[in-house]
Amino acid sequence: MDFNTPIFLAFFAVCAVLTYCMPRVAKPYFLLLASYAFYLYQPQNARLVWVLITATTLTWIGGLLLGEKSLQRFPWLKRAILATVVGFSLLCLIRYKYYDFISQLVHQGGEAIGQDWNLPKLDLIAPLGLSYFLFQSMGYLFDVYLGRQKPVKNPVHYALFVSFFPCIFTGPIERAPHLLPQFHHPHPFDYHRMSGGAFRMLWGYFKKMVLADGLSTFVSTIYAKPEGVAGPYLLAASLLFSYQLYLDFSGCCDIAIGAGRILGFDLMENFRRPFSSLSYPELWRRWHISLSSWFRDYLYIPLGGNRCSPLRQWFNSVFTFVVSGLWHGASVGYLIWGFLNGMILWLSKTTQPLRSKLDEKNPLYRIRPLRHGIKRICVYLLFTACIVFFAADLYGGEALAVYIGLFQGWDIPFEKLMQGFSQYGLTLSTALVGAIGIFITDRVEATGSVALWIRKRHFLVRWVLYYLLALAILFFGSFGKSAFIYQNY
Amino acid sequence: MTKSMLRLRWLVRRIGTLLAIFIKFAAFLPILIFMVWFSYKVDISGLFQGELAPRQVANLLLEGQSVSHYEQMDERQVLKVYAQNLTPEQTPDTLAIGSSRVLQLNQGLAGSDSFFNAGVSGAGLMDVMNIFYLFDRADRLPKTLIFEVDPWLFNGVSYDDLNNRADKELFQEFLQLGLGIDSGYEAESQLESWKALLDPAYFQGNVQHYLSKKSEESSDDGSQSDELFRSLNNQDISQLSYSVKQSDGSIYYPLDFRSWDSEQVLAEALRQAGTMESMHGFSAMDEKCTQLFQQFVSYVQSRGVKVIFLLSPYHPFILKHLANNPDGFEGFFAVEPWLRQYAQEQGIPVYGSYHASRVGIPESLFFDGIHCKDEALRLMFPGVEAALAGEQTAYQIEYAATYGESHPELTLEATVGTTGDCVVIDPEWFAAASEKTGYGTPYAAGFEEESIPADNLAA
Repeated sequence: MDFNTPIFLAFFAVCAVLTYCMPRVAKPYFLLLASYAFYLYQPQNARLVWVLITATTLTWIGGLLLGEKSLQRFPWLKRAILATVVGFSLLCLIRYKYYDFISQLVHQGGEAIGQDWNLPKLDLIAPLGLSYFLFQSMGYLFDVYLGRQKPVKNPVHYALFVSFFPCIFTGPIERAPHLLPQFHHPHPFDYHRMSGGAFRMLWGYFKKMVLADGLSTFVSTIYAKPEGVAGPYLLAASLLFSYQLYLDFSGCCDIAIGAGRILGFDLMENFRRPFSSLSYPELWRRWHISLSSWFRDYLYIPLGGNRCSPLRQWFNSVFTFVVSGLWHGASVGYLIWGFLNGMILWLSKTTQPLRSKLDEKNPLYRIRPLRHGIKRICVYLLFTACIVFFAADLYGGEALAVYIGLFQGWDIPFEKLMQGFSQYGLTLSTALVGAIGIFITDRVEATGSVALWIRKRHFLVRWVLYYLLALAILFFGSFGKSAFIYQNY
Repeated sequence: MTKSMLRLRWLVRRIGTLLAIFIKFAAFLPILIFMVWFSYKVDISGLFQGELAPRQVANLLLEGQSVSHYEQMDERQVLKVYAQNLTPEQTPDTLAIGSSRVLQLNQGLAGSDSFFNAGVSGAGLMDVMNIFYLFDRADRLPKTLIFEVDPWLFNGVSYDDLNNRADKELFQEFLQLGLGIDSGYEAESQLESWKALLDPAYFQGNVQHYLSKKSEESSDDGSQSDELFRSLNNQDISQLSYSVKQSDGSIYYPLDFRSWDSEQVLAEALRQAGTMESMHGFSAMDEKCTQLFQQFVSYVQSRGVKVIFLLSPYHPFILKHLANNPDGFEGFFAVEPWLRQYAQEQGIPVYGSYHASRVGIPESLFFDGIHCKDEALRLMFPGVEAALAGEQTAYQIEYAATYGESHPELTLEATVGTTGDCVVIDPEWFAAASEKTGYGTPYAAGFEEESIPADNLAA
């Protein structure tokens, strides 16, 4: 059940009304049922629901064991339990997402040295949301192991934490200490919470269906077959893809967060205007926050983080991002994307003192807007340079062809160039709607909370905005065309 | 405050809040209503309003305009939309159904201000019934039905071929709901169509179509439109190179076709005589077709509609050809006598004849072998009112004036059913009569009297 389908809206409306009518204690039970109904609606999930159930059961039992007081005296046993349960989760991931990729690498490696290493292919379809619910449950285990979270005794609460339907397919990857207590004490129904949540959902739909999907026709056309495409189009598609990805994913998170809010739960924010970042590390603190912080807390810091030798720092940074790349998908493209991001992040941190000194000597840098503007552009360009691999993998093109093509075909006459944009799917109206929409979203999100911003508007302004957003979705939104990009991971 | 009071207050507050939320959401209903209304009106897929091109033609006809390029129209679809969109005020008093052989019958010839010609080319039995049913289903029944009865309606051998263009589902519906015959018809579910109205993607398609239409209209600088089907009102249609569907449903053929000389007409009649696909295997009138025809006529009458049969003549050359080669065409010669008898039994007036000579139609009044000109119709059809009153045709009046009322058998019995003596009964008389009625010479140049074997000429 995709968020951008009428069936989801109907399902959610029923859930919201019933949750509202239900006594507080019964809410988690009902929401668990609703979450499984939501999950099972997808035919592929109906066959693979056992993965979710097993992962939930094992991690719940694992959590109970890790929190068992009598085991505190046996740290090795705790480690063994943690390793076993986390190992199971990782095996699930490997089986469904990485096995075929690994077998392909083994085969190619064998070929390189003249050996015929053939592992049988599984060609399995992964259950939707696998990476999300496994990471969420692993995070819980780590928190229990590290003593940040008490083990959850109520299996219903825990099962709901793992499978809570607004975030099971696309995140945010919730943290146990943040979400679990809310199941005991959900926010009482409040009209402002509800209207704020509804607006957040509307905002998310606008971002996804009008802006992101509006750009996706052009980007996907170019990236599906970049060979022979002129440089200006490749450049535009690459620059636009960064924004498309942001709008798509953050729009999805807006819907999830808004839905959670209506149901009485606060989900964690996943984006904070990443393209307003002044540095690459800052960008990654603002982009896909739930995953970035997950890797930071459970991988980067345990590896040693920044507090180690420069070489080790480099390794930690690159390794974390390579794993992050692999989280997104099992392919060389995602691997390179992760590696490049890790490298840039490490370089950014390493060269920070030197760049600060140079900045002081640059007279232009004394003009703050100019300094910020240049920094933002640099961050955006760096991000875009890496995202080429991501986009190529997503749309089935060759990243190398994009890079080569970027330097070709710049001598097209202006009129023909414009015609080309239109033929590739970026019409004047799409560009205009996109530009205005992106400007508005950026300005509104710059105020902090979108829901708070709308609440502060005058009644009339507010309703005009509601109507404008709804009409924009109706007139320009893409219906039934594309799922959310991050639903694939 | 007691516990029950507290509970009641809690309940009231909850219900109040829920109501407030529903009211706020209901504020978005105008958008939904607009979406549904717009999609219903534009209806790019023709789920409710019919397909776009036929709808365009039908709407122009309903606006009282003549439309270009009849030959490229999907006539059956046009009629479907036309009947569906007719208002009670626009409902014609007189409706003509039949094949292209009736399409020259226009408002003037029918003698009715409220007339529509719903003939379709190649109409089989299914088509004529379907077309009447379209008006019946829309509750837009005429007072009088001019039913141009083609002989092939009774040809059971070629039944499938003759009805290959007809809407089979509509026919099933008519059989079941109209004639009460079990046809296996099941009412199609409209749920999918209604769901489309709630589909924003469908709405967007409609918006795009609407806007492109609007921009085409606004960019139209008064010069001739590129549209295939366009209004031709206030234009001289006599010089056009394509056919025109006139606002009364009749057809105005292109200049080239209307200007054929006798040789061209004869050549075409010769070609048509050689094929006569509609008559293929017509060795006898089909029992089932005949029964169905009778049931249909009874149904029309039961709906309070007066019926007039109109028989459109064939070119004398065609008839001569059929008479000379009667094997496999026996059914053709059987139709007219049977129909006349049936009409007499039912009290239905019959005008015209398949035999041109019987109704005084000279060769010069044919476009080709099977389509006579409007002037021919004027000769053999006195108009609706006169027809219902049983009045005589122009030819009959002229004939009676010349020969007197005492010799009606000459016209009525000359060729019916038995011989091929059908070309012209009395050339001399005909020449004189034609001169009087002003419809040109009976024999066109190049087809002289002596070219017809003498033994085939009537005494």
